[in-house]
Amino acid sequence: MSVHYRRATTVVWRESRGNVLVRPVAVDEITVLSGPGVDLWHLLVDEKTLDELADELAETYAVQSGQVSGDIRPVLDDLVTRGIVDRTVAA
Amino acid sequence: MSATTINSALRSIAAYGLPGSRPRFPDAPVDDATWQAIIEGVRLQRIAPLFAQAIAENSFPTTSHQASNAMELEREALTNALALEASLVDIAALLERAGTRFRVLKGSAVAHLDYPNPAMREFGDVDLLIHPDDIDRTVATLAGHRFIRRFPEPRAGFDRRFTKSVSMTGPRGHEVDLHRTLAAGGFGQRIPVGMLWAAPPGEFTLAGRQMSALGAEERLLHACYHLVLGNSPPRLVPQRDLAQMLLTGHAATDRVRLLAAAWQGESVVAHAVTTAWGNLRLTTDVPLLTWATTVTPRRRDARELARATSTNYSYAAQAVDSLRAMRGARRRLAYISAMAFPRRDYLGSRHAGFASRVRYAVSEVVTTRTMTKENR
Repeated sequence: MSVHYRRATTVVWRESRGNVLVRPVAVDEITVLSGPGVDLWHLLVDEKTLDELADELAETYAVQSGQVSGDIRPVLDDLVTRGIVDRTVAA
Repeated sequence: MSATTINSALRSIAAYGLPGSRPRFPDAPVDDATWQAIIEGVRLQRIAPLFAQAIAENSFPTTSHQASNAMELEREALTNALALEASLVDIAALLERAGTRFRVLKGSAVAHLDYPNPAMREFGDVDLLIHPDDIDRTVATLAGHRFIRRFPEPRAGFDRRFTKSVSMTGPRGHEVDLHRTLAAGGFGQRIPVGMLWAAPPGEFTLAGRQMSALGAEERLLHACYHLVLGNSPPRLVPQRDLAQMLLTGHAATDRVRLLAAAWQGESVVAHAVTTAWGNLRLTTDVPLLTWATTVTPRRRDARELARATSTNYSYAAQAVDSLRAMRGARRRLAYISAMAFPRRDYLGSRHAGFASRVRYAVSEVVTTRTMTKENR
């Protein structure tokens, strides 16, 4: 069983001055991503697993993939809860 | 700093980042009073993202407090744009379900299709071009979802046949303008609306939904019409839009000129291009600018342009110009009848009663005649 993440299609967003502002169409709430959050947002244009995301960010920031994985898991959970990232589970 | 200098700074902000622009910004952070005047202008002209960019790139000197003030303003603009786009997505879903043909106009469409980054383009409402045959259904559909019409229809069939646009306010408080055509007055009346629907659309994606806009050349012409006929004096955003399209866009000049001729709007396009280049102090030549400087408007167009660009181009004067441009005796008669004898609720929304309307109409026509005489 693998878990994939991707930007939700039901959001609108803008990128400006190192920040990404994302808003679900149905919810009057803006989430602001900055720093590695912006890189994460860019990676989420395609469906990816936690490990794939961690590997790519680890390469960008020259750190251990395992460390990144632990850091971004709660972030992804939060973004899923906010409705701006979709999580799909494939058998 | 004088009003002229503030105005000059605002024009530089509107042109910021364009190829060939020469910003005229202060050498040091301005005093509080000047700052407030600039911020007010930036807010009014909807150029907060461009101002923030100029500050972030150290082109416009600020104190740290001023810089954070400008960044807050930009954040507000972006948040508002996202709220409007959320509304647009909802409206698009409603209209698609109702089988309405529509194109996204101005703000969101231009931001996504004509700017390198949509965050650079601020906007304040949702504008849609609606197929004339679908406009009644569109109004009914939105009214069924708690959208409130700003003014009632003057007479049954007026929206479908004559109106420039119908304004409605949605349950989230956002304004949506449903356009039948792209401009008011005679120039708007001469736009062959069918051509707008026959041309291939521009497309962009919003929240996973494919949105259709006007094609690149039609968008450019619309920017010209909005610039010249929308507000007097012209707002800075349509000038920036036009310059952005001409300097970094993909519109084919030959097709723009063909469309301008078909819309009988060469004088509008020429006036728009020379105005934008003058006001934004752009130095890069583009083929349409070269052409624009050679255009001599025919007498009818010159007169109408003078009226339309004056600060008191009233609703009544627009109606007179529309009537002049209208083809077909029956169509003209229907228009006159709707204008002269609108429904009671329309009268109530705009004027206290028939007598008031007649007085208003008489004073407006007199004004129009005087202006026409002056402009001869």
